[in-house]
Amino acid sequence: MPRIMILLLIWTACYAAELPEWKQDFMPEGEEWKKTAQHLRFSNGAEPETLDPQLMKGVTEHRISLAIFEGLVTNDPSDLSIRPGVAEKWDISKDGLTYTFHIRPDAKWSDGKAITSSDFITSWKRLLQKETAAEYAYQIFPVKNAEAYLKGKIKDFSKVGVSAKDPKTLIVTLHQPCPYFLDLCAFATLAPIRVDIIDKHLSGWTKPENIVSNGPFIMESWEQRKSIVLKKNPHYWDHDFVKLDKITIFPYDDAEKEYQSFLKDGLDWVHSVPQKRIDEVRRHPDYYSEPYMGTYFYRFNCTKAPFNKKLVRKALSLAINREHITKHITKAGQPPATWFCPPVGIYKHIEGLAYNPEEAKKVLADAGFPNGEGFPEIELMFNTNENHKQVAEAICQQWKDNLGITIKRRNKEWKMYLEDMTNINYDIMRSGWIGDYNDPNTFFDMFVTGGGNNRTGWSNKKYDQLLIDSQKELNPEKRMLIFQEMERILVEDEFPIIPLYITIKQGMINERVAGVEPNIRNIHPFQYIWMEE
Amino acid sequence: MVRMAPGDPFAREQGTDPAIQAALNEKYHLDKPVVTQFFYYLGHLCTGDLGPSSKYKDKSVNEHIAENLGVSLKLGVIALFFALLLGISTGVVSAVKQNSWMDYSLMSVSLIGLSIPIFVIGPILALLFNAYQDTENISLILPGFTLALPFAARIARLARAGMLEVVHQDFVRTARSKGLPESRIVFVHVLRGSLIPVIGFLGPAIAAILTGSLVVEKIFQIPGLGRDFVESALNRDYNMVLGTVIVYGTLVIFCNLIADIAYGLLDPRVRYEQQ
Amino acid sequence: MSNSDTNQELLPPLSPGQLAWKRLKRNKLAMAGLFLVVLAHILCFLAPLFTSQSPSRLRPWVGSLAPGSESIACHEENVLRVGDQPAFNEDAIYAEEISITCSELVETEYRITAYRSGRRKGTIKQIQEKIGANNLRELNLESGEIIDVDNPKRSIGPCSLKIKDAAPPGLFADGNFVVQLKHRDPNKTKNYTVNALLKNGQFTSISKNDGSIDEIRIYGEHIDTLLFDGQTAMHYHLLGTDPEGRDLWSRILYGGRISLMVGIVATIVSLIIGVFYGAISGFQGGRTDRVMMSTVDVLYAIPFMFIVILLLVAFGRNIIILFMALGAVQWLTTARIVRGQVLTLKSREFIEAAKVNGASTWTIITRHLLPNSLGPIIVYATLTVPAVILEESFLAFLGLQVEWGSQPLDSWGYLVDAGRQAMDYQTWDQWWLLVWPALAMILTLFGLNTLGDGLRDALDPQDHGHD
Repeated sequence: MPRIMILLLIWTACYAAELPEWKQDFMPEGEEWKKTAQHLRFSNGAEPETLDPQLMKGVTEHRISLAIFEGLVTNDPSDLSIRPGVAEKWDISKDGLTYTFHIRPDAKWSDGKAITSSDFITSWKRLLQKETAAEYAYQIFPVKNAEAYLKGKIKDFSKVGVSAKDPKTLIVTLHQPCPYFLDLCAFATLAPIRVDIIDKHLSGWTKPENIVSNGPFIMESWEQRKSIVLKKNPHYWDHDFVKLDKITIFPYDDAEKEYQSFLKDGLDWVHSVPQKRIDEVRRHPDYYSEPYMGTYFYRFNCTKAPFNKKLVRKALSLAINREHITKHITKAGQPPATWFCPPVGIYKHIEGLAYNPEEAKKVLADAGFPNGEGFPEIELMFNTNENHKQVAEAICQQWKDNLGITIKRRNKEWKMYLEDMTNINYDIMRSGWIGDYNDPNTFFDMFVTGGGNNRTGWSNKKYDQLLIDSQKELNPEKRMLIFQEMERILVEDEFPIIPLYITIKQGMINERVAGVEPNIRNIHPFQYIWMEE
Repeated sequence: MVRMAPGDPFAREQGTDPAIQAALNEKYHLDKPVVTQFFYYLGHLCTGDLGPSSKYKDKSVNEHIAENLGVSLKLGVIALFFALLLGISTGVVSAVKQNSWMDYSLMSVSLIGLSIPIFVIGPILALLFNAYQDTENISLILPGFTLALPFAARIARLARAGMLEVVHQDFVRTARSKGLPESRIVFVHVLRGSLIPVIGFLGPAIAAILTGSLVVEKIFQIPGLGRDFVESALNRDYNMVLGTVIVYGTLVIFCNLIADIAYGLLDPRVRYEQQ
Repeated sequence: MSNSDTNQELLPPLSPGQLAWKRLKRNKLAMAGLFLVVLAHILCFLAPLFTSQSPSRLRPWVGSLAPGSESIACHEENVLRVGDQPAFNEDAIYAEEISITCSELVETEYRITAYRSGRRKGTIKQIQEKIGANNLRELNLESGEIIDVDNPKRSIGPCSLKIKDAAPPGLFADGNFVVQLKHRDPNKTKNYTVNALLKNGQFTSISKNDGSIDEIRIYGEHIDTLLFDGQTAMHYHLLGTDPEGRDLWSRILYGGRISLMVGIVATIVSLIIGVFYGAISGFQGGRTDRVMMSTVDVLYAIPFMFIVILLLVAFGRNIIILFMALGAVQWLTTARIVRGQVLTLKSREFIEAAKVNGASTWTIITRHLLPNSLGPIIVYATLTVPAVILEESFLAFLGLQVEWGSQPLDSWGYLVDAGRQAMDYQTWDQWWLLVWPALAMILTLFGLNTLGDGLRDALDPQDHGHD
């Protein structure tokens, strides 16, 4: 027995030494940790709507997909840079249009079958089929002809820019350079799935008895609204590195209940905290909060008076004291923002215009409304929610106090609010945006003229041109400068929107859980996590 | 009716590509005219298929309801049991002791019971019995009790009124004059009379208990059918909303049928009319 | 006049209404109910007479104050400008001199966490700015103050904190691995006094630290004292404030307006439908009656709240839809009661006489039948109001708060639900947020219920009360 232990020790030591440097931080020292049950229990905030990675939309679902699926590449748990996944390496052609992925020879499905390049082709074909109706299908649109295939303009899938050179080599062709394409490949939507299993079980294929997946964990059980249990996947290519044996996911949607359960050691990790106890929670050593890749902002309807004048928009933006909003209303430490894009990747935001009520008054007078006189009756619309309501009330009060204008508040049911936003049927509207991938483009391509997410009616030729430039620019630093220029147009010159604050993610994590590093997307892959003590 | 409401089940904060939107509508048959949709739904309903949920994509509405209905039913039965037990016993006691301090205080308590929203009582009871933090096993006793309280108050008042009405009738006087023991009079003759208005109230009560279960399931985090109802409606998950309403409707009609039969058995007047 | 019963026989006979009132007066519980109901209506509908504070203006820095507390009577941002009226307080325009002392602490708060176990004991895990939640790698302190509630307040000298480094001695007290640290740059701390003179409600001169200025903006949270002509200007919060600093007493009064209005209007709607349905059914009799009443029986069994919810979700939460929906649910019982009344009245002589005189059906119903069945209708209406108020509070709980002209209305149901969410059920922290609105609601509903009961007994002494 001792001999085996020694052998094991030597072996693990060798294994650790073989690890790439970035991974070594995520391998515990010594053997002490193995005495602890490697069982992680966390609350996920809701029952997942689906476990089909191509149909997933929410954070809840994507968190589970990190455990049971893996794309061609993965994100570094600390800085989110691109790390190998199913593909052990890849080459990018000089023009940035052709990606060659080399799928690792030991990549296997959880039923033991090898993962081949044709698995990706069949998966992506399903993603682009109308019957699948995948709402995130646009993530694959950078691939040549992908959009045309979904729209039915091309019937022959072989014309879509994805092909297999051999069973372990996948070649992807883009229709124009996409500097963040690898980030998209790390996302659940582009993860491989087993189309043969889906054909057999249809929508029931994600049930524990049917599912075949390729992530570090596999599903053991899924009890509706009670729990999902995952266990280590023995067929995962890097299963020696995976430290957890079992993950139990609870779908609690009540922050108070989560908190109580956490305090009684029923949970190791919760992803939300009860707001009414925020002062108490913030003093707890296990509390954490990190800025998140999301911005909370107001949209102006730039197509009609008075907000077709940029001076009016500017005045309203200058008259908001964002610090007071985040300090007294949202209270959870959100960074107030006079800029639009959170720190994504290597991007550094510009400063924007600070709160200046006197200047705001002057600007409004220049726009033809001295002391707010003659300002038309307008409405601020938000979707029904207590927090949105309070922020809206506070901001309208500031506008009244600082500019002398009265703005009515109007709340709408979520679905009707979205309809009004899409049809630009509002004056001012609360909005939020959470980045889809780790690149500022996900924030800045929104406001291109006529863009599906613009929804302000705002149009600026220079801005549009800069967006095109940014897509052509392959030098990352220069690209960021272009984005800064775009941000300047948004928040220092034209003001089609008023950014208010950067959103945050808060939660509580037991000290025993090791290997969780804060990052802006709140992505914490489970293979890097272990339990201590 | 649900479908006429403005709003799109697939709308989200991030705009959806028109091509993808079209595919979604096609998948859930939302691209066709409402009338066609209706007949399509009816056709499937005849075969017992309530369609797919536009939110929970891995499950059909049938599966979802099958998984959650049991808990809701259990909750309802427990609530009904408590409501009847508490209500009738309180009603009988206060009728027997009519105009005593006991009667007044019981009736005042029942009036207070009618005046407190259950979403205030619920958490307080949970606090008293320390049940709120029990995350692993959800006991339905306390939620059932909470749900029962307002109905118990109602039933107590009905039972009391019904009993008093019977007490003053001739056959009770006859029974008394025959020298029957008081307990026998109360339990055999009078109780039956007092039950008649209670049974008559059962139909509406069942409907109201279902409504209350929306609230109680939310307070106690019970994974029942009612908890998601409001959310499904807000999400425009048409099939889920319709499915829930159809299942609840069937349930109510069924329970009313039973209540009617019980009413007929207990009330000689109704029996006479039927003959 | 008629103090003793013996005199009564000498006086002219009392009308049925007077008789009922006499009986009602004898029922102490019902009179208490009447008192509560009248009190609630007076307080709520004449709310501005009983409170001077706004139920809606946000004063978030005030936060949630316990009952009986006071807060400085000002707004979040208070602008003093020569030539302008003071906008931040109604009383300020009557003052001749306003004096404000402020202390503005320019400081940054940090939250510093350390690992508490194993080999990394005492090493710093996270340094975070409290506002902004920015995580820092490193923090150099000139001087700081530990402001934890749990920790003894103490200052910490010049030191450098760095992630994954050992914490400087004294940073973490025994057993504590989180500290809130306030780092204050002494150069940035501001204490100042603002004096302003007013004439006819307008500022004539403003001075800050004895230097004359034209305009100043002062944040409520920085104000230490506010004096109007030497008198401290405070708001008194009888029942405390909510987390946004709004006075709970005025919120309850204004919220009561909404709840009572919802109750009354929905009841009127239900009466209009129910009375005419019942009257027609009873008056026509025969087959019409049977069909109409079986319809009512069927409708009784439908869980109408589901339909109300669907209506509200589908067509918005407009209060009109709520009135219609709740009224439409509640008319069933009214219809039954009125029908019963009409059936008994129908065969009476005066109706026969009216018929002989050639009065139309409509005239008979409106002139003769309805006035004579007014008693039971009033009783039932009194009992419908609380039922509707309760139903509205259900909806508020389910997240379907009603609104008027798209402004959300904070009814009692909403206040109770907000209090339920804000209160801490373990420590009873912020209990006033739940207890007072719930009490207002429960007392009013209790009053309405007992009054309805008492009215029923008074109007129909033989009947011991059907529900």
